[in-house]
Amino acid sequence: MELESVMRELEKARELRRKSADWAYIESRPEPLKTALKIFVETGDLWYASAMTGVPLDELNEERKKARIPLVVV
Amino acid sequence: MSLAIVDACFLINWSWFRQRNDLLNLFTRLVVPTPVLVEVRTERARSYLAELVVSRRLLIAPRVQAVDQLALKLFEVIDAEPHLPTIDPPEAYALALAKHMRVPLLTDNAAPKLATRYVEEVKDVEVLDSLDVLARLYLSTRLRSKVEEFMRDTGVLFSEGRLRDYGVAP
Repeated sequence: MELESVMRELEKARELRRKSADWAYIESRPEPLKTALKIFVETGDLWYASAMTGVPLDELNEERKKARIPLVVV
Repeated sequence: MSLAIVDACFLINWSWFRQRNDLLNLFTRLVVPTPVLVEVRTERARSYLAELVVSRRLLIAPRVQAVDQLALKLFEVIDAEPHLPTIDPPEAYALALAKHMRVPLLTDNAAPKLATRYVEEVKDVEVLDSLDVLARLYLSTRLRSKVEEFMRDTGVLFSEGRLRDYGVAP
């Protein structure tokens, strides 16, 4: 696993999250959930999205599934 | 007895997998560090943990100062490197504990695996993600269908490159 190829895969993963996300669902969620989901789309990092917004990690994981945001393993 | 440290995302993902108990064919017991345990709160993930406890397949590792010191060092070294994905504090603790106990770390995040390539302190730690674990559990003929099941159950996607590496790209 070379660093450059991993970084490329991480960027592809970000694009995939953006394209796959159900944005209407995300926009319909109350705060801070909406912000947490948007952070996850951009970063792919559940922990930071959870820590920054106070949404529990596994609750956020369930919400990201409902919002059709894939968790991409590179 | 073979042990493995698990981080929160891995546990949560596997709590959704219909064949989650197959994980115990690879590891006798899973070790959850205390800083990781507090992050698991939903009923599904907690009931998975409860099942593991009842069957005596789960150990909870206390927070230890020596491990904390290594975790802090890893957190500083990895997150100071702008080209590496960031590692979060509980994950850094789990990686440090894996180093301390000389057992594998199971995680679906990229940072710990990359850290073992570039950070001297953890070069000897084995880090496995869900795809690595599935590949160890199932022979190549069944691997493709199990990977598809896993992705359907958990909402996890494996990158095309990784799937190609295991010969299961669509």
